Amino acid sequence: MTPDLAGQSSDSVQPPRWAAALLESLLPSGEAETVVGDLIEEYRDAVLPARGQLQANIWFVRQVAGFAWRAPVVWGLVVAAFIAGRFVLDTFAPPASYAQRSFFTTWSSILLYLLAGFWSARRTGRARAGMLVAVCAHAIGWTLSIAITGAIFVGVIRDDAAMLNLFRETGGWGEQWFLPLMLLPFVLVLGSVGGLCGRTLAKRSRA
Amino acid sequence: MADLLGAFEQAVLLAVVRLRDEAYGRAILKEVKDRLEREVAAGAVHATLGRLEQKGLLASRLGAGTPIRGGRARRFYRLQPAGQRALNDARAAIDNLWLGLRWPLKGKA
Repeated sequence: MTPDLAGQSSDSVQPPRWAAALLESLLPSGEAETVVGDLIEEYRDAVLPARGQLQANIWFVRQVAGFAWRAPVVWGLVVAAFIAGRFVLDTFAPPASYAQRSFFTTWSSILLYLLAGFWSARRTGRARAGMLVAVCAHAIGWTLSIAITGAIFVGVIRDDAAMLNLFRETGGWGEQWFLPLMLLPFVLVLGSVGGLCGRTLAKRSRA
Repeated sequence: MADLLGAFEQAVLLAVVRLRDEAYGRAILKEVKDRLEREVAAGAVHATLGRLEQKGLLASRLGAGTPIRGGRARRFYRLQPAGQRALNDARAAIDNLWLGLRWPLKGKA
């Protein structure tokens, strides 16, 4: 037994509770119990005795991450496509007025986060899943869009004075990189609202 | 012939066959890791089990938990006739590909 487990039975050692709770929130109720049970069994029976508590906790969090990315990844790709698509259109096909385009992207984004929250809560039966998936999707989309818009900027815009000017006029990095960060509270609210609706519907279909 | 199984799907199905009545998530994960001789994410195994069950190649039932799992239930998997056919097809396809060749391959690649 490793020194940090001296005097403890491995059955009483808990993996990080927040990670187990996160996993339980993101999985359908029928799967959550068995999947978390499998991970806890492996954690206590094999990983903890072999690696010690710190390494075992890291292992557990990695396993949870291996599950958690699956729920929001598709939504995250759609968010990235939205942000990067808007960037490409604004830069390479600027409209006479941005108002119509802004109207479309704003309402489509609202619908997207509501749907992400609704779908996740409907699938899992938990409203919390809606909020978590919407926020994670936003984070994935934001990260990917930074990579995409950064690559386009370096490859096409940076050395072209006219393009650079247009890029600045349409908001520059503030619009591309920092606006999504400021929108996070709204995403949280939209995901939660979608989540509440999804959970209500899930409950009604079960009843 | 139905869609051929991927290598990882075969590994998971064969683990279920080997483990018989003891084929539940953690045991399958361990068996797959041992057979493939590499680290395998639990998420990958569970996602594959879910997909194979949706395709009708596996069926599952809930079993009692144990103290080491904090009393949480275990999900046991069982191979279905469609799964057996899919594994046989996959094996036949591999045998066909190797027909007339010696293993391991020797000489300059």
